[in-house]
Amino acid sequence: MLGRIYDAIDKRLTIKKTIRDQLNHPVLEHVNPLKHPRAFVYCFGGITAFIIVLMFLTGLFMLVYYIPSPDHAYDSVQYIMNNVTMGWLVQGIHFWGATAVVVMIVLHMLRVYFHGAYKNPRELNWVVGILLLLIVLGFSFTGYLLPWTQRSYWATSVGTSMISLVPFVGDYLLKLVRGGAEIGAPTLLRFFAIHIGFLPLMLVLLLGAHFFIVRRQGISRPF
Amino acid sequence: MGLEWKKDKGKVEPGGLNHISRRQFLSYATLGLGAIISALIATPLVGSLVSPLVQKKKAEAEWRELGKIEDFKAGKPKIVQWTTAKLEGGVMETAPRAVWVIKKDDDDFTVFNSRCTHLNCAYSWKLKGESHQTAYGSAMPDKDHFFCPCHDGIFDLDGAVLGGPPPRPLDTLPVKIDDGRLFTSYRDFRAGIPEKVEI
Repeated sequence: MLGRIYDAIDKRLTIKKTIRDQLNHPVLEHVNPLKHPRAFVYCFGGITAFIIVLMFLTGLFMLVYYIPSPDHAYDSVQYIMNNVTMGWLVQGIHFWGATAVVVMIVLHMLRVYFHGAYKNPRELNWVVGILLLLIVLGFSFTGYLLPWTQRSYWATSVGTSMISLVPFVGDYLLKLVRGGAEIGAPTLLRFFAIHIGFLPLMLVLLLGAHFFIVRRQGISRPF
Repeated sequence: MGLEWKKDKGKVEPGGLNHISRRQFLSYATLGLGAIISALIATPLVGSLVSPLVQKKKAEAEWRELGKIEDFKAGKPKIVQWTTAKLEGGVMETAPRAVWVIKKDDDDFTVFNSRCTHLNCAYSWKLKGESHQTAYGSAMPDKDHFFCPCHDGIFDLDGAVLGGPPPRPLDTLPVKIDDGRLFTSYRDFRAGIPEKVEI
């Protein structure tokens, strides 16, 4: 049944060969942990990507219950954690995944750095990777405010205050980031929009580029 | 293609009936593991999404005062509106409530839920010959009636269906008279079915 649907699609789009070629792509011996146990370090990037998928999914499903308003944000997050069926697990995966993804990115970067895998001709993918790191840190910073706890409020207060120290334009930047002089509803909505709209779009595009470049250039050998 | 292990005739030989190639085994194992991991991830996600199905509805305050019995005039329906506070999704919110009160006598009251039994629109009281907009240009009855503007549902003073799509009469609510004051116990009912089923 599924096979016949696949055949019918393939007849019109001729995608079978492309997909088969991708699936037949050999795992190079030097990155295969079954052949060389030390090759587990090559898994860090993939693990990062897997956690990012988890973050997308858990975030998407929390969006059903979360209310981005100073009056309701805290209560709605408490509701997800205490009342929604298995909501504690969805929220928990998102919470711990946020830390795990940064840890895995750092390990991935260390692997690339010590293998010298950032060198010619792979400088471009290092640059894309740095942009991805900045995007993920943007996720971390904006996501931190959303539960609207004391901790998130004051962390955002400190984090946004720093930007006001930029010479000459600091005050303007502060207002731009907070959506006003103080932290309030505009700040929360700004951070929410960035967290669930702007950043995910950029992340998907750059991750696509990251993977495409890896496939094109192949995984480097150490040294 | 396909697993042949069911036709077990004993010995497994390369290329024989019971043989699975290494490649095929690995592809099945990959798909199987992928399915298990997907199911593990999907469980909390889908669980959170269907959570409203297992949440219990909190009962509203049992009796709500609607007014003194002399505030109502016999044969002249009066709508009584108020807002109720309720906890939804961890947030206190207000919800509008309304009932129609029909007085026949000082000790004979009928209270209707203010939602049409067809699809829960709010209906209103129309006098005989009163001109008003209709959804389909339906003919109005030759007497005072309740009229629902969404799909031209028409009810008489007793709540019986005079015309339009409503599947059952208007929903009556419990009534209590205490010390010259009228009380009701508010509740909602499922729309669109002939039976009166409380939500």
